[in-house]
Amino acid sequence: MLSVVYLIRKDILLVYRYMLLLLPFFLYMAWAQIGTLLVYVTVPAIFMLITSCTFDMQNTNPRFTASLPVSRTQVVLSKYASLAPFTLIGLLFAAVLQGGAALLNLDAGSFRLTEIALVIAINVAVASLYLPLYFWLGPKGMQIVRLVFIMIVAIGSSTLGALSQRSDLLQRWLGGSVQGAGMIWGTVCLALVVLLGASVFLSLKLYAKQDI
Amino acid sequence: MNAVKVEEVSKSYGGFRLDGVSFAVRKGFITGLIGPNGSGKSTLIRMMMQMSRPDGGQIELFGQRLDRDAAQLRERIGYVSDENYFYEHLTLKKMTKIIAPFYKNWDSELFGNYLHRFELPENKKIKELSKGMKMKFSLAVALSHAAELLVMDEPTSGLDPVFRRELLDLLTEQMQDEERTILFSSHITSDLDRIADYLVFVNRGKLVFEESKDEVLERHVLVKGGTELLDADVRTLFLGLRETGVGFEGLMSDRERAERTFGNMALIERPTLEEIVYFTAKREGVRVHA
Repeated sequence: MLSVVYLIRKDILLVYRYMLLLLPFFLYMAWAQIGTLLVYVTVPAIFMLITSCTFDMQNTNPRFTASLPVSRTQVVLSKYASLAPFTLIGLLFAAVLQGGAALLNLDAGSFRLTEIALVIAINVAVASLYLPLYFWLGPKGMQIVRLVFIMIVAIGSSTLGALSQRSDLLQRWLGGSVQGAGMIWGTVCLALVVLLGASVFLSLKLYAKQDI
Repeated sequence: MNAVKVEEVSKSYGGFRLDGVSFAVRKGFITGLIGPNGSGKSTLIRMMMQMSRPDGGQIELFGQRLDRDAAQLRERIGYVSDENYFYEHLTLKKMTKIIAPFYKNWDSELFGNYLHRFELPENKKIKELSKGMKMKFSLAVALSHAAELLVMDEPTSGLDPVFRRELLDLLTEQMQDEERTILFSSHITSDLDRIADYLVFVNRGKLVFEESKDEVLERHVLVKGGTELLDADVRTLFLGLRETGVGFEGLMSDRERAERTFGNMALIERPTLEEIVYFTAKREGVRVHA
């Protein structure tokens, strides 16, 4: 268990300086989508996940993790678990931006629980799709997949953010004032658990026998 | 007692086949894994590290089978690769910060001593280091967590002669503690000539021999003579033969037989490891017509 924590720590140490370089881009995204928490949180979190995976696949880096006293199961689980601190960092980023926006008298939206839940759901869904591909394709096939995912996350989250601003129904749903919202959330959670479970299972199978 | 036991291990990929290789690495000794490039040395080492899975056969480390994920066994191994596998964009300090917590027996003081001894600048990025310095860092890491087995894949390739010599001295120094075992793969046989106790020779995915270095050097002979001494029967006695317009030199694996066959008619010498590898790898004979 402790090894998984060390692997997550490794991922954070690998990406944090790189993320600082991307800060202007995130700030621009946030400014362009002011009032949308979704963009503040989803984009940096998924970027961090994809970047840490990229570093682990570059050159002969896969041998580094393979040389450590950690099992392949722990390596796979740590990649999924690293989404938690990355999402938390995204939330902190959003909080700082909201604080900054408030000082400038700009409307940066609010921290609604449903919106945070939606962000977490999106992050889990994206990671569940991305990670099996990462463990399957390895360094050669991942360049295109990485680009596609970054585009999907950047365009998708900003589109969804804009939609949530303009759609009255979505606003009410996020506000929890739509009848049957609980049922929808329950279904989404169940679907996510199934998706995540299947994704972890697949990644474990793919990585267990891979030659490095 | 064996630190590593490889039994009937086979592996096929991309036109290469490792074919039922078996050997042991004895605890407390330096074993050299020799063979030409592409002979299967790195594949064997990667399988010991579980970076690659054998198609058949099995590997034991410290008496335990490697069938399943044996993460805890890697705690006892120091791995040094010919290629840098650390994150290039990190400084040595940050890389060490990542590595250290994974090892229960990580000795920060010892690691610091190695950094000092190897003159490694902690705040320099790995990509800014020379190949020799990267190798030194890799070695410092491998030696700082009380590894019982050092697995070194071509550690001296591409290094300058000064550091190569330093590295060999350091490894000899490590063997003062008889608990430590070293498996050292190299195609630079002069390095193993200097430090190895045992030799495992693989060629084209097959085991050629596994013996103590002294026995190998004692058993083999290099025969040099005129071409008039060669006929079809004599040629079959050689493991490898090199002919020129003025004579021949060939490797035989039986000293007594060589002496009986050639007596004083040919020059019989003790070969170097390089000559043994060269002639064995070119088993069919290399003909150079001058």
